[in-house]
Amino acid sequence: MARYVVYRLLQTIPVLFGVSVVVFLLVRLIPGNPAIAILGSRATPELVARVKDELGLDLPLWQQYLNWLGNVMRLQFGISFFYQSDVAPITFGRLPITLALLIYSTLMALFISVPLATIAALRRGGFVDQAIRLLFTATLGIPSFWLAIILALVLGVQLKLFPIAGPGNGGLDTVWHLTLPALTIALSISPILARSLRSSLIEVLGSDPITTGRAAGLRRPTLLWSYTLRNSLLPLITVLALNLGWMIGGTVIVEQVFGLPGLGSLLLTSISSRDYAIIQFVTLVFAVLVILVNLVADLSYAFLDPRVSLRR
Amino acid sequence: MTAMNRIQRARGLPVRPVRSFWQLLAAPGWGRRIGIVGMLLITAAAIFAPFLTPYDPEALDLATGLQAPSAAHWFGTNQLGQDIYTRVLYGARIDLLIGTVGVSIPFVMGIVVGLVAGWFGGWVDGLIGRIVDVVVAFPFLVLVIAIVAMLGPGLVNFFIAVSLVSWVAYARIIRGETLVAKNREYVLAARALGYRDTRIMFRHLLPNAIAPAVVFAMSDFILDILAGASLGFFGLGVQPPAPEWGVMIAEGRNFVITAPWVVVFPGLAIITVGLFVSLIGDGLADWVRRVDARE
Amino acid sequence: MRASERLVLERLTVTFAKGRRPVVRDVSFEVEPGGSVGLVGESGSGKSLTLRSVLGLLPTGAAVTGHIRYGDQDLLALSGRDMQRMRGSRIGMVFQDPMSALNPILRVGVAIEQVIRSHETVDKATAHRRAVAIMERVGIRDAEARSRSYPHQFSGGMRQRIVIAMALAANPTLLLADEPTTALDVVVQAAILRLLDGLRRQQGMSLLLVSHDFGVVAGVCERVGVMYAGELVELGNTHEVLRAPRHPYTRGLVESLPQSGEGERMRSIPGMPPEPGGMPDGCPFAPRCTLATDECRTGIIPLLQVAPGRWARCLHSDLVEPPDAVIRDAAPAPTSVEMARG
Repeated sequence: MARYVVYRLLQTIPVLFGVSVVVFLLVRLIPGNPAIAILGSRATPELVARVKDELGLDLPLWQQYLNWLGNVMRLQFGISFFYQSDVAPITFGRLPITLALLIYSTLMALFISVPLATIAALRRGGFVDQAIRLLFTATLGIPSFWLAIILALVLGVQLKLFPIAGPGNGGLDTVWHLTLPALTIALSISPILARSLRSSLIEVLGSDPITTGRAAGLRRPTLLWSYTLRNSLLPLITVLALNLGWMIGGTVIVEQVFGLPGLGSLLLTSISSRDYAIIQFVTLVFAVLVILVNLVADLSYAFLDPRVSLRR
Repeated sequence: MTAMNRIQRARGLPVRPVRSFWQLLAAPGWGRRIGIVGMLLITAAAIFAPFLTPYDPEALDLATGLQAPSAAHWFGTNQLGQDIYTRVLYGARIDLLIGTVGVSIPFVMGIVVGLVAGWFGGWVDGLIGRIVDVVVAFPFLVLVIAIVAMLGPGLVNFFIAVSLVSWVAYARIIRGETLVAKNREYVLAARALGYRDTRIMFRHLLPNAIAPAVVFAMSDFILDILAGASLGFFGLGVQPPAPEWGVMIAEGRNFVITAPWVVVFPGLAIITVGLFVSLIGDGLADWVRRVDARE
Repeated sequence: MRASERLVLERLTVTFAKGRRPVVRDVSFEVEPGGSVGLVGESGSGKSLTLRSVLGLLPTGAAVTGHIRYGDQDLLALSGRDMQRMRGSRIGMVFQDPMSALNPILRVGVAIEQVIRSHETVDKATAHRRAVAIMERVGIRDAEARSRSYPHQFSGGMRQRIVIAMALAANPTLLLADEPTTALDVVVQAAILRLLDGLRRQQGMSLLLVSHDFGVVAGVCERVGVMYAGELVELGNTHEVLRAPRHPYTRGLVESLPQSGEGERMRSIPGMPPEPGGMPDGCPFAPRCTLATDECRTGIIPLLQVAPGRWARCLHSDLVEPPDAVIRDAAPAPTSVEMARG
C-alpha cells in the first residue's frame, strides 16, 4: 500500500506543474499590452515601463515562466495592484467561507441524493424510480444563479426563514446565513450526484455477492448495509471528488448572489478591477484544491478497500 | 455496403452495424421524441421570432415598465417597458447559438485529439493524457471565467474560453472508444487491406465510436447554455441590452420582489431547454446501451 | 440435525417475454431425502434456471408456473419473508464463480457469522465459534486465523470452500449447486466434489447439482436428469444413463465426453441447439437427430417411462444404441438391445 500512496503522490507533481503553466499563461492571453491592461486608467508611459520591467514582460516566455515559478517556490505569489499587497493573504483570508460553503453543500447534497438514489435503485424500473429519474432530468437545466434568486425570494423574503446576504457573525449564525447558498449548490448538484449513485447502486445490487447473500438467506438490513451500501461507499467518494469542480463553480455564483466574502466573489470582483494577479492566484488555489481533494479520494481507496490496503 | 462489410460478409464474420447519427434520431423512445419535438419547436420559435410577436425586443417604453403578465404582454414587461415574451423569444436565438457553437467546436477538437491519442498510443497518448489531467484539474466555470477575464467580455471570447476547456471530455470518451475498437475485426481487416491510418480512423472507426460522444454532447449543450447564461448574469458574456436569458435575469434581479416575472420567465426558458435536451440525451444513452448489448 | 426432505418439481415452466417459448418447460423430477441428483445440459438448456427457481432467485420478468415442494412446503407460494427464512436454513445454494461471489469488504468469518445470525438468535461469540467450525468442516486449515482474512486473500478453490461454508452455515438439509466446479481447475474440482459428496453422506443432506460436465455429475450424483432446450429429456440412475442412454441427445453427450488415453478425435454432436424463444414444434432435438421421423416434429413429446425409474422424452427411445465410449465402472447385464445386436 505504501507503494500505491507514493506512486499516487508522485503522479500529482506533473499535474501541479502543468497547472502552474496554465495559470502563468493566463495573463499572456490579454490582448495588447498587458502592462497597459493591468494599469488601466492609471497608465502613463513611465508606469507602463516600470510595470513591464517589474514583471519582466520583455523577456522570452520561458524565462518569464521560470522567474514566476521561482517566486512561487519562495511563496511569493505576486502583488495585487488593487489591494497593494501580497495576493496570498488576501486570498487565503477568503478561503474559510468558501470551504465552509463547500462542506455544507456536500452534506446537504448527500442528504438529498443518497435516499433518492437508494429508493430509485431498490425499486428499479418501477413507478417511483421513473418518477425520480424524471425529476433528475427536469432539474438538470436549472441555472444556479436563478435558483439562488428564487430561493432567496421565497425562503428568505417571503417566508423569512433564512437570511439572504452576508456571512453572519460566526458559529451558528454563519451556518444559518450559509443555509440558502448551500441549499442552492446542493440542489444544483443533486441530480448529477443522485444519478451516478443510482447507477453504482444498481451495479452493486446486481453483483454476485448480493446473489450469494440472498441465497444464504441474509436478512434485508444486513444485505442493504453490509453488502449494498458499504460497497457503494468508494464509488460515492469518487463521484463526489469528480463533481467538486461543479460545486466550486456553484460557490462562485452563490457567493456573488448572496454577498459572501469567499474566493468566488473575490474572483469576480477582481475582474472588474482588472486585478490580474488575484485572478491568477485564485484560479491556482481552486485548481490545487481540486487536485488535493482528488488525491485524498484516491488515497482513501487505499485505506478503505481491503483489496488495496492489504497488498504490500 | 462498405468494402469493410463486404469482406466481413464474405468471411462469414458479423457485419459491424454503423451507429449513424440519423439512426440515433429515428429509433423509438417517447422521451427522446418529446425532447426532439420540443427542441424543434423552440428552434422554430427562435428563428421565426419576428412573426410570433409584434414587439421589438430592444425598444424602450418606460411608461409600461414592470407590468404583470397580461393579455397584451404574456410574460409581462421589465423595467424598461420591454416585452419579456419577446425578449425570451429573441433570447432563444442567442442561447441556442451558445449551446450549439459551444458544443460543436470542442466536439470536433476533442474527437480528433481522442482519436489520435487512442490510435497512436505511446508517448502521444501519454502527453495528451497529461494535458487532459491538467485541464480537468480546474473547475470548469472558474477557468472559463478566468480566460474571459483576460480576453475581455463578449460572446466570441466566451466561445474561445469554452473551446479551450470543453474539448477534454470528448477526447477522453473517444480515446476510450478508440482503444476498444482498435482491436475489433473490422479495424484489423481494414489495416490488412492496407488502408491509410487516417482513413481507417475517420471513416471506419469514428462512425462506430461516436455515439457516446453524441450522448455527452447533449449534456454539454445544457452546461454551455448554463455557463453562457451565468457569464451573462455576471456581465462577462453577452452584453446588455441583448436579450440573452442570463442577462435578463440579472436585469430583473433588483425588482424580483415586486416584479418576479422578469426573473422567472427567462429562468423557465433555460429550464425548458434543459429538460428537452436532457430527454434527448437520456433517450440516446438508452438506445446506445441497447445497441451495444445486442452486440 | 434435522432430516432432509423430498424435493419435488412438478411441471415447472419458466417464461420470460410473454408469447415466447419457455426457457424451462414442463420439468418434473424429485430429489429423495438424502439423495443426490444431477442436472446435465449445455448452456442455454435451462438447467441453471431450473435450479434458481427452487429458491426464487430468477431474474426479474420471469413468469413461473408449476409446483416446487420441499417436504410439505410449497416454495412458489412463499412470501418474501418466508423465502428469506427458507434460504440458507433449509435449502442452501452454491454458485459457479467463487472469484466474485464473496463480498470483498467483509472478512470471511464475519460473512459466515452474518448468515448464522440471520437465521438464529445467537451472540457474536457463539456465531464466531460456529463459523470457524464450519470453515474447518469444509477443509480450511487454520480456520480461526483465516476467519479474519478477506476473500481476495484466498485461492479460487479456497474461496469456493468458503462459499460452501456460507451455504451450510445455517444447517440446510438440501444443497443446490450451480456449476460449483466450472470455474476451478481440474485438481481443485476433484477436491471440491469430494467435499460435497462427503458432506452429503455425513449429514444425510440432499444434493441437487447442475453441471454441463457429465463427468462431474457422474462422480457425485446417484441419479441424473438431462436437459435440452429447456426440457428434461432423460432421467434415471447415473450409471444406467451413461451405460445405456435412451435419448439420442444423451447418447451424443456421452459419446462426446473426452476419454483419456484413447488418442481419438473428440466427437461432437453436429448442429447447434435452438435459439431460446425461437423453437420449432415437436422435439427440439429433431433437427439434429438421426432417428427423427415426422411424428417427432409435431406436437409435444411426452416424458415416457422406459424402465422402472428411467424416463426418456423420445418416441424412439428403444432404438438408441449404446455409446461407443467405454464406461469404466462395472456395468450390469447387457440390455435387450445389445443382445439383439449380438
